[in-house]
Parts: sequence; structure tokens; C-alpha cells
Amino acid sequence: MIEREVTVRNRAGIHTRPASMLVKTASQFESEVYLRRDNYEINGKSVIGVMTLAAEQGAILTLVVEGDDEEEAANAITELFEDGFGEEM
Amino acid sequence: MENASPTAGPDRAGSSAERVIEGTSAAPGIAIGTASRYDASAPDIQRTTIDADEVEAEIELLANAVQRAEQELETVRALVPDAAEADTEALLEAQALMLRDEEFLQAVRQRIRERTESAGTAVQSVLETHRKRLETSGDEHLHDRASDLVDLEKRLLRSLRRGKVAVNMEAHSIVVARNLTATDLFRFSRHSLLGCVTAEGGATSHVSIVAKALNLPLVVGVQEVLEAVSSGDPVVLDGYEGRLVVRPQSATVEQYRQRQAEREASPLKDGELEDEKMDDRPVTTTDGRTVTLRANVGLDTELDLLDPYGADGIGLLRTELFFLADGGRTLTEDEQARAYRTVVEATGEAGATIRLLDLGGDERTPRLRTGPPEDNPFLGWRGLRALLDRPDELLRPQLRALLRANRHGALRVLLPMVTDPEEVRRVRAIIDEEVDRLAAEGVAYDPDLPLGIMVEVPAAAVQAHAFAEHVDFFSIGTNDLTQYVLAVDRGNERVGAGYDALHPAVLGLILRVVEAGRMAGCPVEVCGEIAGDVQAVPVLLGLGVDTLSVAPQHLPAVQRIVRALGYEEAKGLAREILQVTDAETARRRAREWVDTHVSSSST
Repeated sequence: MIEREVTVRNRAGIHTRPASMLVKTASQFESEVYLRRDNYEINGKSVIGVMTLAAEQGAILTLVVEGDDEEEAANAITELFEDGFGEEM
Repeated sequence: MENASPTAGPDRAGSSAERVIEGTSAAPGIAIGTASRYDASAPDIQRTTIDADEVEAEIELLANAVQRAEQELETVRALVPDAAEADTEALLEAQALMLRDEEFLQAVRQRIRERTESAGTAVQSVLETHRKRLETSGDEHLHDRASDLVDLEKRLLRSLRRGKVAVNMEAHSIVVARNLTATDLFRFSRHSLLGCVTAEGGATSHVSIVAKALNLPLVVGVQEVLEAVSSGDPVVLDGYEGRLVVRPQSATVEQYRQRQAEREASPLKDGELEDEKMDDRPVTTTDGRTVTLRANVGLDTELDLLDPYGADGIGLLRTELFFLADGGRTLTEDEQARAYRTVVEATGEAGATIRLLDLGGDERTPRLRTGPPEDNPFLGWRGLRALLDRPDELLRPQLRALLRANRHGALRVLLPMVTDPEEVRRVRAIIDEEVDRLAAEGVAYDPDLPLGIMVEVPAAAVQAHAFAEHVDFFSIGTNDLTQYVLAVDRGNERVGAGYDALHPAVLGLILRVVEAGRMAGCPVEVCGEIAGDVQAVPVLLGLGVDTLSVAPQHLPAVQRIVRALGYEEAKGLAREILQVTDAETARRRAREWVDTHVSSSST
């Protein structure tokens, strides 16, 4: 299991488009993907869940990935966050 | 469906008084009937709970509703190329992901099972929890996300009660709505509605195209319509002038009935075309060159337009829309054979050119198109490339259906998005194999099926001579050819203004294809939008093109301009325009030429 912190860098936060990107990326992997903020944890493969995270710019989330391809999955998702989902930061 | 009572609404003092409300015409035609209010956004859930023994049925209902909603979304995506716009695309994609959100669906099913809630109620309850969560988060950007959830809820509830709406919709009524989608129109058309009027003005061009194709008068932007009209009110919808008459006096109704009868007798009588009827004489230039004018068609409802508009058969039938009209489902070989038979029988001797499924590009059919999203769909897996990649899925059934339907008339097959002659050879080989199979199976067919290519990839235009020995005809698709040659996406507002098929570089390629065709005795036709552009027609004829295929509605104008010009003079114009170096000059010169060489009564 991999557990690490990720920061929302893009200005608009995790709105519709980043949420879709995140779910599509997470769904490419076998591993279970969870995102946690405070005590609220959601399934990273559920777009509705990700949207309700309401994560704004600067928010720090805990990414939890578990499964055979957890390494690749965690890296791919971390990259999305680092990259600000390709949006203005 | 609203249950507004006949006396509802403000301002009803003179409820018997005729009232005329102006809007914008989006599809022509006249409809006389009673209004029927349609409100897609306020679904009512009839039951909140179900009996324990209905649980499995309710879960199946939910699954069907999700599937229908997905289909609807795909139809919308396919019909709205504007969706290439990043924002729209992202929203539609998010909606699609939400419909497939297994965690959400699981929660809904659980509520149906454990609390015997109806599917609609369960959807609302689950989304309500998510909405609450968003509201307490205090995020200032939450508005967008909340509205995505609202969209999802509406979409699912609408889909759940879809069957009911269809039943409640009065046949032969005129739909009054705040706004409508192309999918709505497809659904309504199955209930023989007479016309549609919307309060909002934002009818995309695709709603308008679909309304025209379905022969439904459509007037948009009638702002007061929701206050002024209740279900059951008598109304007259004038899709020519873009107006709605509420509670018309009998004299008004009589007047419109007469106009309606006149139009039916002669569908072309709209204003400027008053005295001219389509005649069957060949269409020739003043110096005697015959030009063949065919129609571009996307839906079988447009077949009725061929005769009134004097089309010499079909020059381009886009089969994607046949698939789309059926929710983007893959049509079976038998279904296709029946559809093509209807088409070929409607065109008689003149016959019909059927383009094989063109997946990708701007006419997307996502359900039929699997595979990862592409960075450059226009340069990607589309047209013949996709068909040849998996010939058993779509290519073989479509070719077999065409071979079978060909017994009933004269079909021609058009290959989309061809890049090199090898692709044509491969299709020929597959046709030969299927001919042998049909013969062995004892299925009736006609192997005399001319094969042509759509010239839209610049490489095919440049090497037209190399294709000439492999094909029976060329059809130049100027819409995509222009985008590829000028490297301009015409839907991109920053650069779209630079899109003009009259650019000399495009015209030079057209000339190249015409010459390759002439050397090899291969007919060449133009089927892009430019063929219906009256300023461009003289240039195309001057380049040597003698067959044009355009939307049926454009045929009268094209016919008149051809009859008003001389071929020899048009050749002079084409030579001159090939010398210029930009589209703007070419366009200006073509416009001046039409002004001076074609009498004003003809344009």
C-alpha cells in the first residue's frame, strides 16, 4: 500500500474536468485508489465522489493506492496533481 | 408534461384574443394545431416507494434508464461537433463518467433493495447526500459541481420517465418548451408532432438541421411563449416567418391553411422562387453543357425532398445518421439492407451514392467507436482506416447490405477518408469475397456496384491519377479537404475565418482531380458545402466539374445559377482565380463575376 500527500495546484481546484481526468487515470489501473481529506475518504474511481471532495487550490489530500500496480498508479495520479491537471496554476 | 389549466397564466383578460408572438425561424413549414407543453427539466416522480416483490424489476428499470441516458448523451455528442470545444466536451465526458459511476449506482441499487425506494427516489436521495456534502464544504467553486449533479439527476429522472412522456404526448400537437435538444426532436418525431417552438434562442445549428431533416417547423427565441401558451391552446406556428399565433381567429387559420396547401402542392414557393417551378429539363449552361445536380442526404425522411427539389438522385448519403437516429446502435446487415433498399427505390434510375460509415472527424458516433481518445481525431483513426482495421465488425456487413440492396436500383459505394490506393484494393478484395459468399449462401445480390473515393485527404488529391485505375468515380469532399489543405479547423473561432474552400490552393487540387478523372474516363463530382454556394458554382464548373451534390434545399438556387451562366466564360473565371494567391481575393473575384455575368433575378 502506498500512502502519500498530494497538493491541488491548479487555480480552479478539482472541478469537473480535473475530476474526469483523475477518474479516467485511476480507472486505467487494477489497484484500488482512494483520496482522503480530513476524515472524508472517497473512491478515486468514482467521479461523483471526486467531485464532492470539493478540493480547492492549495488543498492537501492523502492519496492511498493499493494493488499490484500501485506504484505506477500512484505515480500517474501524483503527476496529474503536480501538473495542475494541465490547467493554469 | 405540465398540467397548466386553460385559464392559467397572467394577462389572460382577453383570453379569446388572437396574439402574435415573434421569434426566429430555425426550420421552415407551417403547423396548425394545439399546443402541448413539454418540460424536460421538471420531472415528476410518481411513486416514492415500491413493493418488495418489485425490487428486481425496479433495478432493471434503473439499468435501462442509465443505458438510455448514455445513448442520449452519445447522440448529443455526435450531433454537436461544437462539442469539440474543450468545455462542452469536458462536461459531456464528465456526465458520461457519472452515468458509469459504479459506486453511485451501487448506492442507488442498495436504497432500492433495502428501503424499497423507487428508482427515481433512490437517485434523488443518493445525490442529495452528495449535494449536502458539497454545500457544507464551503468551497466557493462548488456551484459548477452542484450543477453537474443536478444535470445528472435530471438526465436520469428524465430517462426513467421517458416511456411515460412519450405516451402522454398528444399526437398532432405543437410542442412548446423552454429549450429542446436534437435528441428530443428524434423522440418527438416518432409521435407525429407537427412542429416545435422554444422560448430560448439558443437552438444550435444541429437542432435546426435535424428539424429540417424531419420536416418539423421550428421557431426559437419566442420569449413570452411559456407565459402566453398553455397545453391545449390552439396555435399556428409559422416556421417561414418565425412567428407563433396564439388562439388564432378563424380567418387567420383559414389564411394559413391556404398557404399550407400551396406549399404542399409546390414546396419551393417561398418568396423569391415564386414563378419558377422545378422542371425536368436537363440542367444546362447557356452554351449547352449539361450539369448533373444531386442531393446530399443524411436521414431517410429527406428522401421525400428529392422529387420536389428536382434532385438527380443522391450524390452523398451519410450512413452515420442512420445509425445515430437509432441511438447509435450498430444496425444489422438485414436492417441496413432494408434501409438502403428504401433509399435506392426512392432514387430510381438516377441512383444513390452511399458513403460507408465515416467514424471520427466531426461526425462522431461514439457508441460505434471504441478505442482510446485521440489527441488529433481528424488525423486519427477515422473513416476507411477504422473500417479496414476491423473489417468484420462494420465493413463486411455494410458492403453485404449494399450488394443486396443494389438489386433494387443503382447504388454506388463511396469510401471515406482514403489516403492511398492500397486501401481501395483491399476494399475491392473484400467485396469480391463477399460476392462469392452471397452466391454460395444463395442470397440475392447485384455485384455491379461502382466504387469511388471521397477525395478529402490532400494525398489522395495530389495522387488522383494513381487512384484513377482503381476507382469508378471521384467525389471531392471539400469540407475536410479545405481543413486539411489550409490546416484550419473551421470550428476554431480564432482561425476559422481563414476557412474558405475557394482558396486557390484547394481549387488547384480540385483541378488536379478533374484532370486525372478526365484522362481515365472517371466521373468527378463535388459534394462539399461549396457546391451549394452560388458564388463558387461558376468556379467549380469552370474547373471542369460537371456533377454537384448539395443539400436538397440548395438545389433550386444552384439550378438557376447553372442555367444562367456560360461554361466558356466560367472557364475564364476559373483560370483567373487559379492565378490569385489568397482566398479573400478569390472570393471577391467570384462575387464580382456572379454580379456581372448572372442576371440579378437569378441569384
